[in-house]
Amino acid sequence: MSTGTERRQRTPSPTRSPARGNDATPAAAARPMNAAMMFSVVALTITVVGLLYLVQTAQVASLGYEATRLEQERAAAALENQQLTYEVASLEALPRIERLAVDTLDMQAVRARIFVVVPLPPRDDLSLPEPVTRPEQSLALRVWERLTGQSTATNMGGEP
Amino acid sequence: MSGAPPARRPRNDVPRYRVWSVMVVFLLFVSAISYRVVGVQVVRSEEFGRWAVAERTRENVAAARRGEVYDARGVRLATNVPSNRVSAILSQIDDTRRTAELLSPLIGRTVEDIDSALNEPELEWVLLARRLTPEVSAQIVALGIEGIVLDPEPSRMYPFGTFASHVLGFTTYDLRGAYGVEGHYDDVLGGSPGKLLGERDGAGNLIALSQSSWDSPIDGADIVLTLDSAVQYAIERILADVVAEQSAAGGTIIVQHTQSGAILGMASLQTFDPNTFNLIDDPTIFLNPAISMVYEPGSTFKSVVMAIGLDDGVVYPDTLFNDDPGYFAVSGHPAITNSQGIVYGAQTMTQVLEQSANLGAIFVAQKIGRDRFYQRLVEFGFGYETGVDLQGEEVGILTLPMGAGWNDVLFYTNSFGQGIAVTPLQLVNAVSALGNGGRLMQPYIVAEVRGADGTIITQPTVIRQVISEETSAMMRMMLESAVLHGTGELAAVEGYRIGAKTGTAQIPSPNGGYIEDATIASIVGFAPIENPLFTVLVKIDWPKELFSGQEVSAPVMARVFEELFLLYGIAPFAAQGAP
Repeated sequence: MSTGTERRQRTPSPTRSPARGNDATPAAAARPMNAAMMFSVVALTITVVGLLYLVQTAQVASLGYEATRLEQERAAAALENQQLTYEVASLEALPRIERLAVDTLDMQAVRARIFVVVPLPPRDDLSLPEPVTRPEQSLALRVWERLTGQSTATNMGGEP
Repeated sequence: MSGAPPARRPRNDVPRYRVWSVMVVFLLFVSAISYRVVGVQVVRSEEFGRWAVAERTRENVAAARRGEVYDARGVRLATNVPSNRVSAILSQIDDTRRTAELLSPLIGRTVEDIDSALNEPELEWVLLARRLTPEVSAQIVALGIEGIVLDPEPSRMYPFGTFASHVLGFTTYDLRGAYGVEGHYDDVLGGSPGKLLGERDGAGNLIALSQSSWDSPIDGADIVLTLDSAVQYAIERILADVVAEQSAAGGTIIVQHTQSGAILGMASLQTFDPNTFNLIDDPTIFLNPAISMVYEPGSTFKSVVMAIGLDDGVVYPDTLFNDDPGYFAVSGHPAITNSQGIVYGAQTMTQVLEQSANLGAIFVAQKIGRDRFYQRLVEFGFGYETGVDLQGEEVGILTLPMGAGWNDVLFYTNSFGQGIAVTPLQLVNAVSALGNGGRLMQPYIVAEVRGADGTIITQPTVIRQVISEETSAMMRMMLESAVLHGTGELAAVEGYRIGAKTGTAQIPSPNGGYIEDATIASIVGFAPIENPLFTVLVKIDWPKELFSGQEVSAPVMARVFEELFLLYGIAPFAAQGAP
């Protein structure tokens, strides 16, 4: 009567193993190497990608806080600008300006304007300019100017 | 078998039931997790998604900037400033009395008042003060009182205080406009708030590059008034002087550009500071007397009646009228006489205006005819809003024939400005039409609205032609004569041609009749006569030293015109007419 154990002990064939072992030895040695390398590469890739993602996320978060800070600075500057605008407007108040002018600068309010009537002198010396007629151009010259698109000008006013 | 040791089971020879047991447990575990995962991620994913978004995101209202208000010279009259409100978290205040003593000088409330507020039994927190300036806010922060909290809130400020306050109005704490330009143009100035919906971190900061939506606020438009701060300052000063000199109850001065209808100045007393509107107990102070208070115009109204008579061709400047025996009898009513019972005898229409004769005005009204008279008054805008772009305009009281409250004597008393009530702006606008060739202009106070999408410039608008150019020319001459030879003599400015009509109206008593010795002294007119540019109304309420428009208001008008001629460089007539 044989036991299960015995059956399992018999199962491996002592004659086949060396033969297979002889054939597979180099491949078997290479396969774990390849798998380990593959695993390492994948792990490294995942690590690098993860790190890049983390760096990117950290930078985005950092830039976000920077943007928030700048926005707060902008808002504070806007508020300060509003306050300064109000102060400028207050300083422009007419009663204050008048008080400064009168009390500090010894100025006086204008009470009257003096209008001086200045009659325009008659311009008898003016005379109409003599009409100047443009010298007649020859037909050939006019045709040439049309064709070439160029033209000549004559100083009619007598000024250089 | 007895002597042999039992065969050892190989290490990997695990009983199958154990494997299955582990597998079943594992499967159960995985199933439970899967069930939960599917439940969370699939079945209720939308619900949880909404929760998560609601947890991370927050909606903030971005307030629109309220537009600023400038005068015609570019002077800023209303602007926005940062401010704070201070509150107290009552459970955190240890010594309420000490806290009240420290805050009292800074926030303008009494120690007892603050202490009482800090001991409110029913409240968790109380608002102690609003619109604190940055300086005061900094002082409160420096006190370092635990439980005292400052929150920023924008507020509206009026740099010149009471200056033109009735024209400007004010804004409430929630920046809603009330009265004046602020009230009328609240939608234009206020803009539309925006909305920022975005993910935020634990500190409430917006997470950059996260999903967010941003509806930008639409800022309010800036407004440029026709009001000239130099004119406004001058008339406010003059008005304050005369009200003080006459111990008057108040008064109004309006300066309108005769040709366009633009308001150059509008001052009234009593006034208020819009920065501290909350301190005013009587809200009627906020009403602009120039548009919201009605009064009997008295004899100033005769100028309008005379213009109607001339325009209808029923009288001419030299038409003679004899007021003998010096009274006009109306059945069932006391006889109507001229002021102080004076009998002038025969007089021209020009003299009727010069002497401000009541009986002469009745004569003109009778010539016009009752129905025609009231039709023309309505054409002049009496009894209706002028449509000026200010909040709170009244229509006045014009009782039409056979209308409610009508009686026959009204027709006669209305002809000299009694029994009718107008706003100062209605009258000044009607008198502008007498001077500008007969065009009733739409009065306006906003010259430009400068919005994000462009600038809208108000164009002068003619409502209707109420009298002819010829009638206007006659009225200019007649009103000038009223200044040169009549009751408006004290309104004259040397070298300039001014036309004006005075008025002294009694003040109706709430109990019926009129208040004894109480008058409204007024004058309305324009200058320069050769080309009227300024229409001025001066109205002094209940002067105590003198009482008539002739004595009280005419000299004030002269001062106003002097200032206007100086400010705008108007040359005297002699200089203009020189060859």
